[in-house]
Amino acid sequence: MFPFSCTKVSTVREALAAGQRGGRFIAGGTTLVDLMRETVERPGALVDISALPMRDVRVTDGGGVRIGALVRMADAAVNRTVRAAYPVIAEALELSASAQLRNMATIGGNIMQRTRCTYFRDVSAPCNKRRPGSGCAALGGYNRTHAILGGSEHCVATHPSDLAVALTALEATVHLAGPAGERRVAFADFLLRPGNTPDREQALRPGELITFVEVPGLPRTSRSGYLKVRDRQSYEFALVSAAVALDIRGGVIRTARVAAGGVGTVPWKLSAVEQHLVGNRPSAKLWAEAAERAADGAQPLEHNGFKVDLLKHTVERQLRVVGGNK
Amino acid sequence: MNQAVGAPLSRVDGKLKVTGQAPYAADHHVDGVAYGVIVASTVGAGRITGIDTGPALAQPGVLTVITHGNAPRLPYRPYRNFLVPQGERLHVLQDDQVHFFGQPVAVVVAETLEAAQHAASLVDVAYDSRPPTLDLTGAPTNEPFTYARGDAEGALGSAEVRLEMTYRAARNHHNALEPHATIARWDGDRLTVWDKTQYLVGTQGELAAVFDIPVEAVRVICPFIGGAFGNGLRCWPHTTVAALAARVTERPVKVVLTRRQLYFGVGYRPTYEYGVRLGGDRQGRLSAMTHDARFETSRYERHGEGIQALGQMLYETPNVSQTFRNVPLDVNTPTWMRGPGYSTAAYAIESALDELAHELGVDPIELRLRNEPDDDPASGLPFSTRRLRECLAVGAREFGWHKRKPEPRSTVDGDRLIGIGMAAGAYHTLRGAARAYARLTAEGTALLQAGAGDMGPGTYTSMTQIAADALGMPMNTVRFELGDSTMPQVPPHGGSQTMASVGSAVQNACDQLRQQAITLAVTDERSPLHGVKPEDVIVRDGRMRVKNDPTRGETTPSSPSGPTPTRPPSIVLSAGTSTGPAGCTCSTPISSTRRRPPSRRSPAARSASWSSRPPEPTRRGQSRRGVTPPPNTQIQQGAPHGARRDLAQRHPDRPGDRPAVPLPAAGRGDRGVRHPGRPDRPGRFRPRRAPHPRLRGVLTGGGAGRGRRSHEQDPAHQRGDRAAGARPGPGLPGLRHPRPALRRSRRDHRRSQCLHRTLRHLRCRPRRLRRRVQREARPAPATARGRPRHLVRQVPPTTAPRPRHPARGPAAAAGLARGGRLPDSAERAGRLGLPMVLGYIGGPLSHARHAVDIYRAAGERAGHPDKLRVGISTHFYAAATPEDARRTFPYYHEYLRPKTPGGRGFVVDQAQFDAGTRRGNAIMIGSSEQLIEKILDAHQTLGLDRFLGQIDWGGLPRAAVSDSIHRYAEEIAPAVRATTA
Ligand SMILES: Cc1cc2nc3c(=O)[nH]c(=O)nc-3n(C[C@H](O)[C@H](O)[C@H](O)COP(=O)(O)OP(=O)(O)OC[C@H]3O[C@@H](n4cnc5c(N)ncnc54)[C@H](O)[C@@H]3O)c2cc1C
Repeated sequence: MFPFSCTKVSTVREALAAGQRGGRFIAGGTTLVDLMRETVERPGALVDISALPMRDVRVTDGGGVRIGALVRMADAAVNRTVRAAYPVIAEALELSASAQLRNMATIGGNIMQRTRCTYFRDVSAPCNKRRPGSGCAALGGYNRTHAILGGSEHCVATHPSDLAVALTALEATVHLAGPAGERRVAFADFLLRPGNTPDREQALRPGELITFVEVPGLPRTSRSGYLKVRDRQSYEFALVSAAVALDIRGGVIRTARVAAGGVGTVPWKLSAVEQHLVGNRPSAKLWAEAAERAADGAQPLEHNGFKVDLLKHTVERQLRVVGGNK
Repeated sequence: MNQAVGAPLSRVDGKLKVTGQAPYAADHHVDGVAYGVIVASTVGAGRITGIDTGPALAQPGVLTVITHGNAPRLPYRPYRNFLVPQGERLHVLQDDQVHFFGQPVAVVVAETLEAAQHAASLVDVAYDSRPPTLDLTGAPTNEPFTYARGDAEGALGSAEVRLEMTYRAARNHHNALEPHATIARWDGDRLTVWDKTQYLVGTQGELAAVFDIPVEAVRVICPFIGGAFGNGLRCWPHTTVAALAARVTERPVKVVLTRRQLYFGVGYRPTYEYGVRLGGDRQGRLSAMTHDARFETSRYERHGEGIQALGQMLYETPNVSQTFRNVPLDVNTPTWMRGPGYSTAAYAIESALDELAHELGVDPIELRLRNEPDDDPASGLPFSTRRLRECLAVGAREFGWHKRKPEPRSTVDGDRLIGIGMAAGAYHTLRGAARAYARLTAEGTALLQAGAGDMGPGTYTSMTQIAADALGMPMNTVRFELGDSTMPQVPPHGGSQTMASVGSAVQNACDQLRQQAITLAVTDERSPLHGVKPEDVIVRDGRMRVKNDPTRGETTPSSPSGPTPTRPPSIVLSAGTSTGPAGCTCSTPISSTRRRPPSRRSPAARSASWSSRPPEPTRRGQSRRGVTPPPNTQIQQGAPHGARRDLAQRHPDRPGDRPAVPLPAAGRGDRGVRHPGRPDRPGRFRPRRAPHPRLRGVLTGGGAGRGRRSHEQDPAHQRGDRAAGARPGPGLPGLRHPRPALRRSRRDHRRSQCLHRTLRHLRCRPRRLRRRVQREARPAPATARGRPRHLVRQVPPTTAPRPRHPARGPAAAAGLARGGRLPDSAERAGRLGLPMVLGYIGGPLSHARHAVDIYRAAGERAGHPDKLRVGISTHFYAAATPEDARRTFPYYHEYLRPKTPGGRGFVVDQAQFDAGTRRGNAIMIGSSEQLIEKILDAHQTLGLDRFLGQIDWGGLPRAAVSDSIHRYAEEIAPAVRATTA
């Protein structure tokens, strides 16, 4: 470790003030502390926001739900509203990390977590995310777990969050409080692709705080779920995952929301798959045809070519699980 | 006399471990310790051109930064034991060469761990590096190890069938839970290290050689090993670094490797490229096999392991050739890991045989049987044990091999493809020369010592068992100590030889000791056994007596009517023993005076604090031996280091040193001993008065058969205390006292035992079992013949607790338990004249009216209206007030909700709960008054004969459940009976 200060704040205003002075927010600390131990991150001042009043889950007027940034993953996963209306969120959370971690980790911290790329986490390796301009060790290195979608010549690291995949599928909104007031950002715009600036990961301005995440309401007839494929059954990040929400009424798919994790530099919305589903009747053939489009535009690296097929199969399976095997 | 061996005992060190008191290498408290953090090379090959230690040294608390530039030159005398590979070990911090990524290039020593870690991150090392060679393929190799019999090439050339395969085995890192760690302290020229090691002798020898001091000047202590898998068989560079840093700073220094450093600071199972060629006939009989393997090693040492054996003896193959090449790469030296070489060879050979089976269309097991040798084909000698045929037969039976479909992807279970395969493996049986020390005290306790290890196989317990049986003493009066190089030498704690080697030594030592004691007893004139033939004396429960005359023997002075106590033997006995390697057992009793060096009690001996805390005996209780300790009868000769103090002082807890009074019951109860008679124990409740003939009540522990929630899926469980504390419940007695963790683990243990019993009962495999249990745990459906299935017996108590035995009374022996409200089963029950119990989860009580009407009508039609009995079963909780009852909602909610995404269950909200518990509805949760009213309502609506309340749902605190039972017995049942009488 290295010397740093840590202050606890009790109001959003205090938090923002401390953030403006360059303080780094810490919520559950489950990933930031790790990164500090490895000296991947070296913040000089931490601002402990865990006492802020952002820990409730509320139903919105529009029939959606807003989840406070400080709600623990474990609590969000057992929340009745979340479970009933968005099984895909509950499942994504419960398939994440470990029980102990989920008891500490927050929703805000989860979205903000950084890549698990081993070169990013090994301070002796070059990494454009960690040290801009130093190069990318993964491109020419061992890149089995890296992205096949959304990469650039500077970075091919995946976003590791499972929750973010569900939020991407459901087209959630992130609500922020900052020195300049409050604003909201569509989830699709919140996590940034690496491009030329892989060190910029979120559309968060300096000192801005996530206050809550809002998920729009789904028709009551919707069904949803999350499938996570990984090297071992538990306590592991996704190689590939799929979040699927379908509204099937009168034997016809009215809306489809599909996103994939583990394959993109950000959670990957599968619009082509969605478009192929809507207006059609569920069938094994439809699932297969739609899933065939899941990897459109994929650019596999030396060691991760398997993800192309794995992605299609994962999406197909999850469409079948959620939409039925007709 | 096997009383301890084979008995299902708890580990003697179990309590220390589960309570976190077992000191692993980094846990030892050593006064004045400083912390060393290793700076590891960030290049894979090259030379250090400069190290800037300035910023690190400037940090507060930093004592020094040692690099090759300022480290003292260490003698590094040659040292070899049979586990050390050929070549020359890494001379750590001695020169500027970098041999591998992660090589230690500096060590920072500071007052605190944090200061040392931070300073280590500030050490700036410059390298002149070159790209390391890390790939096996194509790299030049060392001289190969070879073996040949027959003419493999010739036989391959003429074989009907040939197969050529190459297998790659990736590196395996041991990664035990306990990281490698060393605390090193110098006392003048004597070095003590607390180290994680499987071989005290090896670490001692290596450190003595590195620092050029006598072996006796090095003491290695390792009482506990948190897993090792072979990784502790060598002394690694960080141990030397710790000792070096301690010497430089003149402080004890602790070095703990980080998880990351475990990938290069210590060895690993090497990468292999293993080529196999097979030749044989169409029936699959092998005529030739060649093995060409390459595997990695460092540039400075040649790692070797048991890669050859299986290729030579696994199958009857007349022609074999083997070439194994070490490939030196820019890596650290590999080491031995679980079945070193054996498992890699088995992987390659067995995979190739499977390929052959597939090609030939021969069943894989049959293929093995066709190549089964009678004798060792390499030596022509008979095998000591082989039994592969039998193993395959049993395995095939147990795994349902006959159901295997050989076509790939042909067996499907839901979305899963199921494959069944087999492979054979073999491992040699080792035994090495070992010594043990045994001492018997006049208090009737025994101390055993051997410089062995316990990385998990249970050495502490198994050696205690052997000694207890050999000495005829109860387990809890025998203490076995290990893990100190001052104790008698034994082979490495690896290669699966500890039991065979150390166990034999312990057995031998104890046999001799028993004989000495008997000799003393029959020769001492004051002894009640004086004059008895030694072979007629037996020792049992720590007491010597005549074989055919139990009355004659050591006496028990505590029994008032017994004969006057005799003084027990006044000499403490000890014996040492060694057994030779397998095949030539030599037993050499060594006189204690000769073997033990005069005690030099270094301060280290004193601070080995673990040894003064005896492992708790498994079962507490009073010693069955009743000899009062004589005032002072000890003569000790050559007791080992640190063991010279009076045992009575060192073992204040030992039963033998205590007054022989039973522990107070409360104390035992606190330890979780079950007290069946305790009034506050929840369980089945039977009213004391004779039950009323008309309406009977039974409270059952047990659920409606919900599958047990797994810990992983159960957030309430995961949240542990936090959740328990957060549950609202001031009104519920005991709500704020979550059960202690230990209780839970014991319960889990019992559960898992039950599970295994059930497993045996069901004769099915675990994977299936879960499914089957889940299926069967659903509410009992009626069978066609109307007999209830005795599910209770089959379902392990992994669901909510249930009554031990299915009720055998007339009512339940033939009754119908109903899940849904299907009229046809009500009709059938009525027709057959069976009692009917209606299970409610919720809803209005009157819902069941219809079913009851059908039931009665059918019963009347069938002509036995007198036989009809109706019962209901609901969740039950009786509280003092309606408000208190309402507070159980979180438990109820948690109990019913689905435990897996999409799993079975109901989500009940507070409003539904409130409605369900209101009058007229089925959930029997309320105050006593409310419940009396509701039961009477049910009686009226349904003509109730029996009420079954399910009492301990949802993990309600015990005290709350207990109160609820009391209310039922004292308030509700009497009132209901009085009214319905
Ligand atoms: C071993 C391990 C396995 C894991 N496996 C998985 C997995 O399988 N799937 C998965 O999805 N996740 C996984 N995780 C990640 C885990 O979910 C995150 O560590 C956790 O969600 C982070 O939450 P936190 O509250 O602890 O964040 P912290 O560590 O406190 O903070 C993380 C980051 O978020 C920022 N931050 C926190 N709150 C806010 C806020 N309100 N506004 C702005 N910034 C904020 C912090 O400044 C910091 O940069 C794993 C983590 C570990 C350690």
